[in-house]
Amino acid sequence: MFGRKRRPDDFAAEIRAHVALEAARLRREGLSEAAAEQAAHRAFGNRAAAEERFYESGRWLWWDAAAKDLAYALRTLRRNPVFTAAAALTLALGIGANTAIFSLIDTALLRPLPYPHAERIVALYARSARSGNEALSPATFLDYRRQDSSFEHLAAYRETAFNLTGPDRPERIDGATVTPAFFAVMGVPAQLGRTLTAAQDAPGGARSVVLGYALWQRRFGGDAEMLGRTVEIDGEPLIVVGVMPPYFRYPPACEAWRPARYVVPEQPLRPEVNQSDTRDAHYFSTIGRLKAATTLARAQAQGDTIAARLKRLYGDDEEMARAALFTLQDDLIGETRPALLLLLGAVALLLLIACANVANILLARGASRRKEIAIRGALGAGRARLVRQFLTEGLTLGALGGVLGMVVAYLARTPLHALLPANAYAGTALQLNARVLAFTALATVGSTVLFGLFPALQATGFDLNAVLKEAARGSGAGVGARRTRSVLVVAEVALAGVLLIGAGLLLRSFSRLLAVPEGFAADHVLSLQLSLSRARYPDDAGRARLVRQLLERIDAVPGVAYTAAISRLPLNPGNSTRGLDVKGRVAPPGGDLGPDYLVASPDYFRALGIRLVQGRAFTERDGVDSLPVVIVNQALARHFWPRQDAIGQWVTVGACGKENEWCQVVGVVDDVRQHGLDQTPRPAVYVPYARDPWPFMAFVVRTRTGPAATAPAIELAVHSVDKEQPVFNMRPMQDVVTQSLSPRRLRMMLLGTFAFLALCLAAVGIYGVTAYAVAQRTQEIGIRMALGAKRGDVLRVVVGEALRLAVAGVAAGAVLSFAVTRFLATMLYGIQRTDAATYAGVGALLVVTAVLSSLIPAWRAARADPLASLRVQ
Amino acid sequence: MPTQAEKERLSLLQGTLDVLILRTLLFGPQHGQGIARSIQESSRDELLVEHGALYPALQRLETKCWIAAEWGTSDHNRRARFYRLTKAGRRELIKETSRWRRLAAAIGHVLGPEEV
Repeated sequence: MFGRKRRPDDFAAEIRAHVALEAARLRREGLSEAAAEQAAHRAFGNRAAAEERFYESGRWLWWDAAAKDLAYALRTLRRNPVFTAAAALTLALGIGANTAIFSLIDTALLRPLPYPHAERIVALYARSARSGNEALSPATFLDYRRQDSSFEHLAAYRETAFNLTGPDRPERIDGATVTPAFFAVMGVPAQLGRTLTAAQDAPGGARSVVLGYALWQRRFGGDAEMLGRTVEIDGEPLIVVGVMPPYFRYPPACEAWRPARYVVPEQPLRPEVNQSDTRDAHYFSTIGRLKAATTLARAQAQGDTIAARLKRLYGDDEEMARAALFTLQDDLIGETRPALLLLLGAVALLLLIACANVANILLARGASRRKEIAIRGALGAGRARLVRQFLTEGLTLGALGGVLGMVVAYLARTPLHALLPANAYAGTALQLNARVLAFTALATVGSTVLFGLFPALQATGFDLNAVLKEAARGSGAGVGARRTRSVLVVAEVALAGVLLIGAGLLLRSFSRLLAVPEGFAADHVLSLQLSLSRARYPDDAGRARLVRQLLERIDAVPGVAYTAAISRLPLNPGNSTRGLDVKGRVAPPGGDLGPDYLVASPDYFRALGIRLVQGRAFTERDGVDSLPVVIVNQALARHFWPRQDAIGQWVTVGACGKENEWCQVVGVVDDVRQHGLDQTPRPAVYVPYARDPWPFMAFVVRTRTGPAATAPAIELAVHSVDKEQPVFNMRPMQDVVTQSLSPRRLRMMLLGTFAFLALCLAAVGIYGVTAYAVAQRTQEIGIRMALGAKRGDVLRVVVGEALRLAVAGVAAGAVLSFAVTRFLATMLYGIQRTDAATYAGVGALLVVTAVLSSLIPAWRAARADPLASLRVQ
Repeated sequence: MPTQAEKERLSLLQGTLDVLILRTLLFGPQHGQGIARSIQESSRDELLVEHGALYPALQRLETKCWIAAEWGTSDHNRRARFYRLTKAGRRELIKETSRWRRLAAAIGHVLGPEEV
């Protein structure tokens, strides 16, 4: 096709020369001038055909024809605005949805993190059979750092909230306490000043801090003079040594980094204790930079070897026997990956349906364009040439759809961003970059071939003579075309069925989830969080006193019914567990389960509406000096005392005031869905606040008038006790519940939207096929009615045909869903993926849709005047 | 529309023509008309070559680099495009000739001795 240098006129000259040579020869053989000329032409045969064939095999024709095809295609599309709009919009939906979801995947899975050789940064966990992937303990971390040669650097960090105080109002920011190797692992230099280094920020030296760019701009006006100055964080003066570049956002949302006090980050509850030798606490994260020479798999293998060795050495304290390594990117995207891939699958199905639909429209048009094609064929257009013209039309249409699809994707990028883990991707926008554009182009061309080739071959794959004859006769035509269209519609219905069943399963899971007893009553409750400055409230007694004061002040606010403090708010990330021993019970080998550990003030259960099943709640008298008591949830009571009364039992809880002190169970409360509505409640133990005053507390306030109205007064009350105390995350508890479901809701709504679009497209497809069939059979219907068929009969026949297609589609869709929904299994809650009700409901929905969409053409056919329809030709 | 018989004859000709052209060019460069005449004569006028059909074949061979072409002047002082055999073309001719011989012989065996 390409590479030929010869021009058509050169070829024409050759042919002229040939004929002249032949004529000259014939003359020499004795023919007259005129006879020789004629014979030479005759001997050559069809000269025009020869020239044309030369032309066709050259690239000249290719461009020429492409331009002509394009012009022709544009003219055709312009002349049929309704068809063009319908097809282009259908494609725009399909391509747009695909582009949008792909741009998400591009951002989350394909685009590398903005750190040098980010693929070599890994997160390191310990994997145990009991608790899955868990953070390393301080001693284990140090063991790895000494023994693991896979890493260039290994660092520990702990995300924490900093109270930033100073001349301005107090502010609570997300920060991290890091070991100095942290920045070496990330490989990012400071934009201004320096990062933390092992040499300058070793434990025990002067305390410094590195600021995030956003914080530096917001709080300090981007002042370069900040270097060397002191800021106060958690009541401790720290020297600003550097500012990070704006793109540096790790750990996600973090705005300041300060060095750890010891060789590992300090434990938040006991910062004054060096935990380096501890093996039973897991409170910080570990990241490492792999050496260039190693691979993730080899590092994993070495990690496993070390883990196995540690397990042999330390036994129960070191329960994990394996290491778990993830690239930082995988670690960030976490559980969102399957959801993204699922959505990509869904939009691919949607695009297939869109293609089937456009193919259907084109087939219908192809049928009505049979005469045009036959005439062009008769005028000398080869089959390949006709197919190409069809494909050009298809591509033009596809391009139109692709461009519109980009618009759709552009509009969708903000709402879609919410699908990504909020913290990790807060600063990254979804881009329509080169990779996404390439994907769009691919999707466009791919779908063009899908929807365009079909009808093109169909329309041109017939015998010209037969068509011209048939057209003259005008009888029902194109049985083959009709069959193809029926198959397309069945496929559409089947694919729409798959999407609907997927969406239906998610929807039913969601409604199951909404019906789950939360274990608390969120209405009328306001929640807020405080982290108490350790510098100003260094000891337990001081913090206990402060909290008591805060509770009293908030209680005094008009409209407040109950106020309570709790160490961890339900449905918020994070968890604390403690080992628990029961008096008179021998712990099973491998240790006992570590229940959730919660520190609560007396009114907690009343304020949050948690039902007291048995015994009593905490009172003001449950303090440091009184008899140590705990309250347990039903899950814990069932676990330890399945056939006995939990009240009056004695237990020790890891850090319940003094170590190994026996505490009496005085109450049993309802199970609270602490870690998410879809998580079965774990056993939990509640300890009175006065015995273990945590430095960061959530407050729950049950109001009489509604949380919004009371919020300002409550904030004032907090500041009346301590005006340097930042209040954050103040929001109605109902919002906390809603927000905990938002990723699920978003997934469900997206899949639901795609399924709905698919349903609409399938309905249009059924309508199109029925309408076309009716139009083709106008005469037949006329004759039938003239012969005495009733309108009802006509209706029944037409609708019946649509119904047959729908039923076939539903059956195929059900089989397909059965295979496909296993990708959905992990996202379901409370139902099986083979849920019969969903399948039946979707089947019914599709059948009803089919009947409805075939009713209009059927009704039109039945109402037609038989005489008029006979007169059509 | 060509009839079934025409189609068959054409497809038979196509492969044949290539070899015949190559063979003709073995004796030196020649222009299209000369090739047509030469084939006709050397087949003792048994093969009737439609001159127009020659050119697609020439083009095909040229694309495959079995022959090369150049404008020149004919014996009778007319401009014409002369084709000559390339090295690759020569190799191809040897290969194809032996193939055709074998084919002809094989068909001969199948058809049996000529009936008189």
